[in-house]
Amino acid sequence: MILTRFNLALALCVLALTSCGGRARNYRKSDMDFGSIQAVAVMPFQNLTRDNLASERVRDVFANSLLATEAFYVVPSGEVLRGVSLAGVAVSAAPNVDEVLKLGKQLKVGAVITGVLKEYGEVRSGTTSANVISVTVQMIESETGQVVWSGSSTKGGVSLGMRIFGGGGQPMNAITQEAVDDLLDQLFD
Amino acid sequence: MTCSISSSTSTVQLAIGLVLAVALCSCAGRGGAVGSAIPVGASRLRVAVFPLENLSSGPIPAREVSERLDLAIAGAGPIELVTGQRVAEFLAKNRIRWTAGVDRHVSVAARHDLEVDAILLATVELYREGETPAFGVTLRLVSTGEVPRILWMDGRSRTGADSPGMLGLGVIRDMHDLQQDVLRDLRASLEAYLRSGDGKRPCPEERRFRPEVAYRSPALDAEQRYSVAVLPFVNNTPNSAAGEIVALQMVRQLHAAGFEVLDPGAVRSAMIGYRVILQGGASLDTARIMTGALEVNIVLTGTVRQMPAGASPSGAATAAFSVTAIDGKTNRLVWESSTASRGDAGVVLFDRGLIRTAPELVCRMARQVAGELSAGR
Repeated sequence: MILTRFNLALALCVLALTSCGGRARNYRKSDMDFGSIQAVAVMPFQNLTRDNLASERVRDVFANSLLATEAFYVVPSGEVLRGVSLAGVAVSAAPNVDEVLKLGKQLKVGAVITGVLKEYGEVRSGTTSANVISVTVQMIESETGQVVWSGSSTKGGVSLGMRIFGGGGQPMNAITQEAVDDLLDQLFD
Repeated sequence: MTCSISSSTSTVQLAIGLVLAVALCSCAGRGGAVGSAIPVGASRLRVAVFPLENLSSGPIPAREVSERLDLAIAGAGPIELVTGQRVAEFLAKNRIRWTAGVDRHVSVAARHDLEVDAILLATVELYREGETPAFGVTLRLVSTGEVPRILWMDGRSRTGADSPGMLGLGVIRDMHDLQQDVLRDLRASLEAYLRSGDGKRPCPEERRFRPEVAYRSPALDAEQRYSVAVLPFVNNTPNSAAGEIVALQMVRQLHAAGFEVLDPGAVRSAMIGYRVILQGGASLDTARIMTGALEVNIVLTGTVRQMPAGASPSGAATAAFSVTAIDGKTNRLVWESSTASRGDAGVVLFDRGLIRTAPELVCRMARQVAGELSAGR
């Protein structure tokens, strides 16, 4: 079969439409010197899903992965909770500017990382189901209270291949790690 | 043992008599000839057996399991067991309610009141009856006296379908047979310890269960022998015992990796004494307090993210947890890792290498963590 230009364009459109995972949208403050940040604190993530423990799991994976890059020192989660309590932060998942400034002094960190978990778990499409995760993360400089970086990632979901051939998708832990790796790529790019 | 020599003056009779004497003198029952097979770790251990701890997320016939355990251990070489009423009286007299660990108070009292050299602690991590039973137990021997030390620690966790063999002839359908199988292995392990004095029993090393993400501080010296206190793990799963099972497996693997690990009883006692509550993990203050109170170098804890209760009769176990270690003196993280594994990772043909029980999977994962923590990547 000879591919006509129309057929080729149609094939390319189909490929573009079937690309899953979402396009990464991130923000990076242009005049921010990220090298000046030595230590960060990862706050409890805000949980917009039905799984009560999902945000803690994702936060745990994110903090470990960030520490493993050795780009920043990540304060232990128990210490973060202690700092949240001492600084009087009302909503730990969404601290205001004053609270971020207090946290920075209390925990001796250059930045505070917050996150929102929007989707976590199984999603169905027709007779097919798969795991999906969608998370947004922000880095807030603790000296000024300004957002210096923001990134989001969505991984998993039901692809065209799964719709046609079936299959259950990847385990939750695997796509969580993929999403976290994607976020870290956005941070360090 | 007795020896007798013929009084005959004939050389031949004397020689025969000497041969007979040597043959009669080679007694002493189990363990071989007189003067040999004295265990390197202990000559004849007097061991108190504490009531077992149940972490199986369901009721178990504790008396029946205890009796089987006592029978199995009693056959493990030169051991004298102190069990039953004597131990119950000791526990009542000393107001000991928690029998899953040994702190200094319990250790000294046991040496004084029961006159025992060690205490045997058993933790049942898995118990499921049915067509395909599942049973898992971890045992540890802790010395008595001023400083309780873990002498030996080992565990097994199996389902009846683990080794089906040809035509399924190897499937174990009876819980009693499965328990015997598990306890036989543990008895052999204990016997080996009593012979050699080496109480390290790591799980098999399998690199497919390596942590996906790990950070090891350059400050950790691979040559130094660190002392570690394992704090309770934060449990983010519906399985109420997941945190304790993972913590126990970490104790076992760290002990096997050469770390000086405190008994969980000592850790618990210090946490109660200093009113330490772990919310969301250990803070730096907690690490500093525990380091000072327990006189250890490192405090280790973590979070369990996934660990379903029980065993999957036909499928693979799953588990996910992270481990955090803090140096209490410098107040810095020295280790953090995240592991998520399935028991069928890398399994291709005929379920060879399939891990069906969560405790067995966690054991292998913990082995990898302990190995990388001790030696680095």
